[in-house]
Amino acid sequence: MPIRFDHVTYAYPATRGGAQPALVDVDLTVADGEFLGVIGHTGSGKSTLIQHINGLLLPTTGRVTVDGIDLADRTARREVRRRVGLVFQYPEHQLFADTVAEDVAFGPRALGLPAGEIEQLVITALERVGLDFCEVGHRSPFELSGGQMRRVAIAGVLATRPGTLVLDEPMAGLDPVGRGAMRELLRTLHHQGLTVIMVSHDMEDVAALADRVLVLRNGAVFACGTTSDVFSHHAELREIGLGVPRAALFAARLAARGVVLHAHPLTVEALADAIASACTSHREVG
Amino acid sequence: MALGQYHKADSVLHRMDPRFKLVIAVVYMLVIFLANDAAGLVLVLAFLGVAVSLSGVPARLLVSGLRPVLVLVVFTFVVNLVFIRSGEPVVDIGPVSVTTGGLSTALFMATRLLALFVATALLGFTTSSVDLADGMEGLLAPFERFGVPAHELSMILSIALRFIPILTMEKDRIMRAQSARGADFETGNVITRFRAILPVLTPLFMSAFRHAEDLSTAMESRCYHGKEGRTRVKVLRPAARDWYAVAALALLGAALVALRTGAL
Ligand SMILES: Nc1ncnc2c1ncn2[C@@H]1O[C@H](COP(=O)(O)OP(=O)(O)O)[C@@H](O)[C@H]1O
Ligand SMILES: [Mg+2]
Repeated sequence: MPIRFDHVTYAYPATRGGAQPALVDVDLTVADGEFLGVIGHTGSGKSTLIQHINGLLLPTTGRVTVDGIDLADRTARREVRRRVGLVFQYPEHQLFADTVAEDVAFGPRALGLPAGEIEQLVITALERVGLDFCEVGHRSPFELSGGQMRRVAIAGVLATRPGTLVLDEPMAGLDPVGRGAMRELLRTLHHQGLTVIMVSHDMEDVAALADRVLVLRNGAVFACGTTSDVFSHHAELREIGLGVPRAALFAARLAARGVVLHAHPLTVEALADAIASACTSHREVG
Repeated sequence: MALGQYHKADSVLHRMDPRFKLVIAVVYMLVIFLANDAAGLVLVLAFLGVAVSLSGVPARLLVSGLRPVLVLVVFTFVVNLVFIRSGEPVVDIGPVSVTTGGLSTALFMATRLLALFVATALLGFTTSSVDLADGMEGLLAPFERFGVPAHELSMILSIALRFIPILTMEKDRIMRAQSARGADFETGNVITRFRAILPVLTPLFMSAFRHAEDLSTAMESRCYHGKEGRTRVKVLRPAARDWYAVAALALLGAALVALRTGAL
């Protein structure tokens, strides 16, 4: 399900005509099965961008297509909403039903999926986020822990079996354990074949998960490329107020002191491997 | 409608004592109804025009703030124009005919209504929610001896005003989140639309409670305990400009009464 942004510019109605648009001439293709990380300073247009993927916002100029379906078409939009699951920031704040099962069933019901299938969809969706239907299905979502509530909300989006999952800062406000678990969850979902687009503040999360990274700046595409490629441009990223993963920074500092690693490590594990292999080859040479 | 959409600027109207502004606005809205001929209407509008030009509020902003109520003004105009049958006929196209009486009543009603709305909007644009609450508290203070909780009421008002834009934003966010899950807020009959509100209302209430809890914690941790022993950063003290405004309003009122009684 390739997602295409074709020279998309978007200005919020409130600021139309006046200020700088929230998105400026964004051109982007996301291939099937890809994990795309979206980074950028606060206000750079990340949230605005992802709301275009299922037609919650429509481009002021330009075109967005999902699987060749133009989102400007009102009737097609409903089908796209089923194919693209969008998880907003703090999705647990959208929970409303009396029970977890009811809440997860909201999406499939609203999209008119056959009633007979809904329970199975709910069971599967909860399972995919690591929750047990028998254990939590009948409970009120509001008595769960914060991390569990977020999982329920994600299950509510997965319940319609989308092929693409879009998440706006899914780790925001989680403690380190919750963060790790969320990372694991997203990695698993990606391995199950979902296309994942994740907005994040945290370069470590992006480095650990994404295949490709899109960098936004003032609503325009600043850079877009493979994760290791984008994170090798330390100076440019720093200039626009973004960091790079600690491992990449560490490798760069080593290089500045004359120790050149042969890989571009982005995670602590990769860094350890790279240093180990550098030591080994050093020993062999010496 | 206009409350809570404060326009920050430094004008005479902004600097006025909010107590005076509130009273003047209310009295002006009553005085409008004294005008019953063209000359009176001109005076009423002139007073408002001076206020607008002194307010430092850009005309564009004022117009956009009034857009929602413009429908009502136009509706009033058309209804009066079509249904009032007194006076000479002016235009007569088939079933629609307009009389002089209809035309003048329509003009009067629409203009008065517009003046009402402009005055309200002006008050909102030039008075921050804090000032508004202070003004209300000041006006209610004399009634405290009769058990009116002036301070609490004004605190409630200012908090409510403060949260209108926040909760509006929150509502938009939740609606978009539920639309992303397939909720449909645009089509369907009354019942399906009503059912569609529930997934928005529950999270909205949750969020309002969350905000309330956060706010009360923040207030308590700054030792807020009501009015007792509380001093003010800004002490309200009427200045010359406030009395000028009162005088101008009194003049307007006197002129309108004179016009009505035929003394002018
Ligand atoms: N509902 C809105 N109305 C008007 N402007 C908005 C709205 N939401 C966001 N913006 C503006 O659009 C720009 C991009 O915002 P956003 O997409 O939320 O950025 P990010 O998610 O990267 O922090 C910002 O300048 C922001 O002020
Ligand atoms: Mg955002």
